[in-house]
Amino acid sequence: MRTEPRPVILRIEDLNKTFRSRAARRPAPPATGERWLGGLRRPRLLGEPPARVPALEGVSLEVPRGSVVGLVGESGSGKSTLARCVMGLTTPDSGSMQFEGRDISTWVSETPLKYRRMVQMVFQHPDLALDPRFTVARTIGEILAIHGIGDRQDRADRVAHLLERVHLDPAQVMHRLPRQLSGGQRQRVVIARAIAVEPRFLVLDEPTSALDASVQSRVLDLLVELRETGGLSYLFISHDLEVVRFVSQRVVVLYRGRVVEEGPTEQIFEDPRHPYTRALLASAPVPDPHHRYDDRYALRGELQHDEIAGDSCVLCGRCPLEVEVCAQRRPEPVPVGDGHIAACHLTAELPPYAAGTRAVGTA
Amino acid sequence: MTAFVVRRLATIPLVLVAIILLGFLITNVLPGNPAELRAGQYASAEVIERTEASMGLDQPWYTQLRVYAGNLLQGDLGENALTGLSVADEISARWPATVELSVVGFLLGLLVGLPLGVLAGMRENTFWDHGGRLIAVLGVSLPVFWVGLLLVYFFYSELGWAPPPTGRAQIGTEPTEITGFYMLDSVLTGDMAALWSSAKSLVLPSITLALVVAAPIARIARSAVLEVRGREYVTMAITSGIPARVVLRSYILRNAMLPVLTMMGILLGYLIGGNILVEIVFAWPGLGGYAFESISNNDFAPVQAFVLITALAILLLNLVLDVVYAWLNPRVRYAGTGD
Repeated sequence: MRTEPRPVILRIEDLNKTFRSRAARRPAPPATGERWLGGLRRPRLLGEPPARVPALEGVSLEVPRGSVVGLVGESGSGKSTLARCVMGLTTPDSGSMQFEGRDISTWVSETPLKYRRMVQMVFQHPDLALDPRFTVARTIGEILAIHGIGDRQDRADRVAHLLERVHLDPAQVMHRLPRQLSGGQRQRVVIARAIAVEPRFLVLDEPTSALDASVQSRVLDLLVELRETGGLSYLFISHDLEVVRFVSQRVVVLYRGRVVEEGPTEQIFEDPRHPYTRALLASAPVPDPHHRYDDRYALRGELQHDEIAGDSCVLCGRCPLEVEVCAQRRPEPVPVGDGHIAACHLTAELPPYAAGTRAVGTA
Repeated sequence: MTAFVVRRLATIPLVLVAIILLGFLITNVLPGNPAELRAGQYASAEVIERTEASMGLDQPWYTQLRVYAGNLLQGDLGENALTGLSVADEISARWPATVELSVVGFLLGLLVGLPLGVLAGMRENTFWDHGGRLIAVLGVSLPVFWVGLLLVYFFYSELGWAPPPTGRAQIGTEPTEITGFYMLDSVLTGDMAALWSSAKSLVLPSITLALVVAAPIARIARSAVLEVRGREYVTMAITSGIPARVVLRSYILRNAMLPVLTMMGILLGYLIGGNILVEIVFAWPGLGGYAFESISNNDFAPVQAFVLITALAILLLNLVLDVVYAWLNPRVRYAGTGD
């Protein structure tokens, strides 16, 4: 199944962002060199210098116009940093980000309103994303006013129309405060506000993770519907693989700020070519009481934010397949299929992915 | 909104009754006898007994309470046992001094504390943040009277920049009293010498009081701004295209003001204690010093009057704060309306 190549709306190339953190540990200093007064470590007046924690390292991705790219990874993998970079909230250290062929950073600094009219964001926590003091009408009307859309009367009509588009009853919710709405209703209001300026692109940062399961699917349906009717493109961030599978055409897997695997959704889910992706898939909960967690693919330990020593693979220390070369050389992404890449030394030798085959059958 | 204010107003009489009872009981339970004070140091037991009878102190406590409450209703706050003057008269002569000092000190404290806290919260972990925190910690931990004494020592004794700490104006330069507020009276009578003199005298005491206010305000403003700044609706405001200046004003500040207002309410109560100390250090002829003297003298009537008046003042100021709070935060307004 070949998809026709579509023009790219968002292109990110070799994006880097490093944070400094005192909480993270630096790798142990080399045994020689930093010695002082007969082997004592030099005391530091201001404590250890902060460790450099890479949030994004050489991240590249493309979102074709009219499609949804899913971004998955554990918390701390750099997903939200990427979203913040695209929204112009965080300045990357290096790399380029282009929207419709124009550099995002210059766009945001020169004519922020024009950029924000194109690109909007939907947040994870609808209860935090709405100002508790503003009614629904004011929340949505505000963004119209900022962008100079319509006059007062016209805006009220537009707000009502927008609420209908997200399947809310305007007469019912218009004059309510966020705390008088349910979680699903709040997220619909956030979405209505985001699409109010008729943007071309939405960055969705875990838009359904804070919602009840019953509400999740309806909000997802809404997002799919809006994309089709509104000609939108999405960058869809989530740690929930099923959600990503449902909405995305392509999936990018991020681990510690690096793209470890990327490809068409079906290939990623049917034939993952990176141990990290496999671990993620194998650990996803399955709604079957007889299902046993398949630990062949499990990673050891938890994601650490300590500096990565030298040139090892980012998954070193956690990977179930680790061999000698992993600690010596960082794997480069290699093509493993049609539009499918994976960054692993062993990707060619991986046996077919078969999680769940060890699941105990029904008695 | 009107219903909200009415609801809040309705609770005030109840609180006042409770305070009148408490004030009366506590002063009567405490040891000491105003009759001894009135009769003088060398009075015989018989004289003291007669004085007691004339003051009504020989009556049982409930009779005394009835008389006290009846007098209160007629605006009679009793007599100062030492001076024999009406407490109501003494207080009406003294309260403008306290209010003038408190208002100037409180506003000065807000003027310094708020911007400092907001700046620290917006620029976390920078020079401004650390500097602001240092000042705030000093302000919270240094005793008020000691700060007052230090200021007097440096700016009056050592440098000679400030006038002597002996009241509201240098002797002979007081303005003609109209309202009792020296600054205001000086302006009303066009007396520039009095204005200059009373302004100078106000500087050190109000700075001392301002420190009590500025430090906690700065701390609470910092943490509130820091917290609100990280909330998603602020991020959403920015990604919506709202200019940074507007985001600061109408999103961050408005929401961060709520805990600051709460702190202001707490500080109003704290200010009374601060006032007493500052008034003593600077020989400020206000209510604080008056209350302190009366307490040392075991003189019931002025203490009860002081308690009553400060309670009333705090109640009313808190009402004002609550109204501002409700205006800033619609959630308060709707609470309890059954919505």
